[in-house]
Amino acid sequence: MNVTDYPILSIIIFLPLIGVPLIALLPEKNKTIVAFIATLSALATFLVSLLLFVSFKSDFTGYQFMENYSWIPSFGITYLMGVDGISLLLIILTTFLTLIAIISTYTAVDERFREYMIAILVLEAGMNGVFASLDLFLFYVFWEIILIPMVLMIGIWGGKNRLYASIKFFLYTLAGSTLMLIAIIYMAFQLKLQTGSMSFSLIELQKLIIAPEIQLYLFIAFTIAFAVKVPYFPFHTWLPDAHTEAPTAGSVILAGVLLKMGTYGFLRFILPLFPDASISMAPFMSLLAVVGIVYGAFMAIVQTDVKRLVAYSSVSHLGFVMLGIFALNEEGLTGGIMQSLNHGISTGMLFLLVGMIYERRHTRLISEYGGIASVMPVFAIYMMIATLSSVALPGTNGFVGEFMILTGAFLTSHTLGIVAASGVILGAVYMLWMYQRVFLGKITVEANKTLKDLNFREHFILIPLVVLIFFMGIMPSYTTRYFKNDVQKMVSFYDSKSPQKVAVTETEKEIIPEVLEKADVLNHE
Amino acid sequence: MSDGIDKQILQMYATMNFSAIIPVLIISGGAILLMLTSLLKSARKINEVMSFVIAAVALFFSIKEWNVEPSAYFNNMIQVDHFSTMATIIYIVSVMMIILLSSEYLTTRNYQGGEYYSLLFFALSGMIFITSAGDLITFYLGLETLSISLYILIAIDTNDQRSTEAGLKYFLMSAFSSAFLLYGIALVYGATGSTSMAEIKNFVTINSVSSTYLVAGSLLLLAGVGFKISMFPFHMWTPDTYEGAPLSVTAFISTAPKVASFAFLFKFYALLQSSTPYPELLENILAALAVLTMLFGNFLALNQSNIKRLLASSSITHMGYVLIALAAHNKQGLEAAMFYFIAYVFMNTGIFALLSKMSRNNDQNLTVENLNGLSQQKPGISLILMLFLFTLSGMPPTVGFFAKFYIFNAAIEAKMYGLAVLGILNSAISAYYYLRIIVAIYMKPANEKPEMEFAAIRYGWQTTVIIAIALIFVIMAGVMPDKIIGSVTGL
Repeated sequence: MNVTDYPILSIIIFLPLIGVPLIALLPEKNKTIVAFIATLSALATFLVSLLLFVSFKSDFTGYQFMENYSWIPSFGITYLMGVDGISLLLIILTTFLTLIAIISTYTAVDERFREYMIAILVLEAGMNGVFASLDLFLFYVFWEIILIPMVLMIGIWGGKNRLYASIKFFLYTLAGSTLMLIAIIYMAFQLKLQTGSMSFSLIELQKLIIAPEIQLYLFIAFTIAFAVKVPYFPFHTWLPDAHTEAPTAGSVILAGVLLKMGTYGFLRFILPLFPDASISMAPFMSLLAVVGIVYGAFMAIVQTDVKRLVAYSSVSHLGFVMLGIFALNEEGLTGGIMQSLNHGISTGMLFLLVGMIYERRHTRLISEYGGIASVMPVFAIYMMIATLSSVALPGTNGFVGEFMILTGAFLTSHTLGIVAASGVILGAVYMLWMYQRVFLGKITVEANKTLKDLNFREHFILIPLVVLIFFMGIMPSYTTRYFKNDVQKMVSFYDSKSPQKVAVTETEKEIIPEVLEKADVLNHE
Repeated sequence: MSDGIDKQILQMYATMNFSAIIPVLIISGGAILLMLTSLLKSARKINEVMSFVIAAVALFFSIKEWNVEPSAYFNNMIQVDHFSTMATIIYIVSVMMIILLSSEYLTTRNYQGGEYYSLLFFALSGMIFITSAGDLITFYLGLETLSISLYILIAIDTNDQRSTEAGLKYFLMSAFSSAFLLYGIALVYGATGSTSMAEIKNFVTINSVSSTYLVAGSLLLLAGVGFKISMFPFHMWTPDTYEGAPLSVTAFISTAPKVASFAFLFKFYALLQSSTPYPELLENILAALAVLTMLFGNFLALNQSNIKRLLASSSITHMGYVLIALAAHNKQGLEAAMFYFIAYVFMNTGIFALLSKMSRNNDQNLTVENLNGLSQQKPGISLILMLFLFTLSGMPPTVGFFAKFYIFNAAIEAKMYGLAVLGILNSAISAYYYLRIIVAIYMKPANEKPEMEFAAIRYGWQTTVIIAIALIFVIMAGVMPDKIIGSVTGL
């Protein structure tokens, strides 16, 4: 059987949705069957994505498993799918974390279980769609669809402040992405003027010649959309609320995958489409990333709620990812992508662990705990592993990512590198201090004395994550080889555009003088 | 002497091919027939069936005229072309949906008269005349036919004071706006020497829009029509009228009549566009009005808890989006507006059909808080309502998203980037109040003392059919908009 004969990406996207009508038609009471169908859908999707993984040729540069159908021909909109190494790994991460999130929810949610499972499955479809689409219109559609199930998830099953958090999340992300739509349409029209036909395909749009000052506007429009999702420093305020109020599975998916949509957006769209603007804005973007690293870490230190602490640690970690990406060299980009995946795994695991103890005690306040290690020793070990991965101990995946990012950052700016490195130390401070207060010492609260350690299902969820943490930490090249070519291609693309050069090189000017003239006229209008 | 003229007229009629105006003839004849049958016993039941059948026949004939050659009738008083045929189809479909919707709603409101349907048909014929007007006079007649029918329709529920009040308000405002309109027509006539659209176009092509009178006349026309489409600053009547009118009438006035008035604006401004250069003043004024209309609609809706008023305010914003398309003054803009109208008719009728069976025990107007916890008891209805709200707020993959996309496309093609950005920001603002309803339905616990019995929400087959059609349209046209794009690109 040859995988490329089948529209495998579409299968991965739409397979989760097959379970939805089945679940919707079941009566509310049949929780077991609902859980079974949902798990089965997610499992099937995961297995197909593994098939994708196995048949992916890692020595091949460019997109694979392409699917191209005409969708709305009047606007040149196509159903264009394809993955390279970066999106491949993110799709695997999505299908994997979704499966785990579903299994983790069996007991966590009682109310409206059916709808919950539907929301997760729709979410999975949307996220896979975002990572696989290469047509910007299609990408935008998936990007927006994700909002709906996520908002409902936070708003219906969330904690005390869930209404506030869900509305904030919705408005922030929606408002952020609207300008991107205008920028996308603008580019499609420019393409029509320059080549004669309108298209939203990323591959076509990369041929577009845009003057640097226009690029800057487009860069800003796209950046706001992605920066809100990442979240970049001044746009991060929705994150602690949304993370804290979301149910466990919601937090896992939010931290594990949704934030990666932002970093992925930078890698997939902003860097290839707006090289000049990216180069000129890189110092500023790196600076913001470093501010995010330090700010997130300081905020995490003072949190009293474990989940909020993990949420702020995300701000800090994603700052590292962005620092790596905007270093615009091989070390930085590789580290950034690696750290994206790491964060999905380690923070996903942290949220799962917090969820597990919340299910037992119904509180997330650090002061309510203490000495948990003596009643739940196994749980404490898992937590230690997740914590160490989060603080980037050598041997865990976190180390590889952060080390490469810092190397990349030092190559561009020593100052930023040094300040960013302090984030590693601060990370150790808030994580280990939290660990000490929750797990070590004597049990101070009566209710904690009778806590039960993990059950089989919980082990089942956590063990694959632990394996990944060490596997990616000890043998990082197994992961990095998937996106090595893509990163090198990007770096050589950027090397050809040194900051002093203008948007168009001399050779390009010779080849296409007419188009350039047109573009010049347009850009001046 | 008079013999000669008679002969001439007879000859003219004999050579004329009436096929293109058959739909409007059927509708006008139908309106009179329905008025007669309203004298019968149980007139409502009879008229309901009859009106539906007549509308269906008219629809059949207008679809037959799909690829009609542009042709003029009665000394250029009426012009039929693809645009007017298309608009006619939208009106008839909209009215047919309203007839279905009214059937159940009027029963719950205990309304028995048959004139309701006759008035709907008069309004329908008025709308068709507006869009196929070849002369400003025909346009005015059509608009008045429409408006007068609407005054009565809004105030038709004589048992309800609010309905009468709303009708009166609409009447006063509308009469006021008609004065603007006539003054505008007079100025245009003064400037160009004709009320015929073809003549105006000739004049503009030769002389361009240089005369102040013509600009002033077109602005007054804009103001007059602006009342009907609730354009800023003439939007104030909208929430009051929507709230007071019987729900089926609200569903009607918020869709087809607005399309008709807009269709005329597009037609009229297309005449001015034959001027070179196109007066920048008009472009800027339209752009500013579009932005202000969207903004004020949003402001009114943001904290509104009465759902009918909320939808009324949001409809102002929707008209603001269409004004963007008008301001863009290109072919894309016209197509985008037409697409938007088709989408809007279905979205709005759908959501009003859903709301038609949700009423409070004490007959007060429905508020957002009344819907708290609806999803726990009525998951299916809640899901559909949510989908309609998302399509109104322009979320993909529904038709609402694509309609907006089309409009912003037009604005960007016209290089009005600022307008596109402001438009999309307003669209983001509007998401907030639609979300508020979703929050109430899905995220808030049910009220302790519910003022509305969710269990009593039951839809008869007529309403179910409309909801189903609207829902299928909203999703299918969102996922595969190409069919509709194909039909509007010929405009």
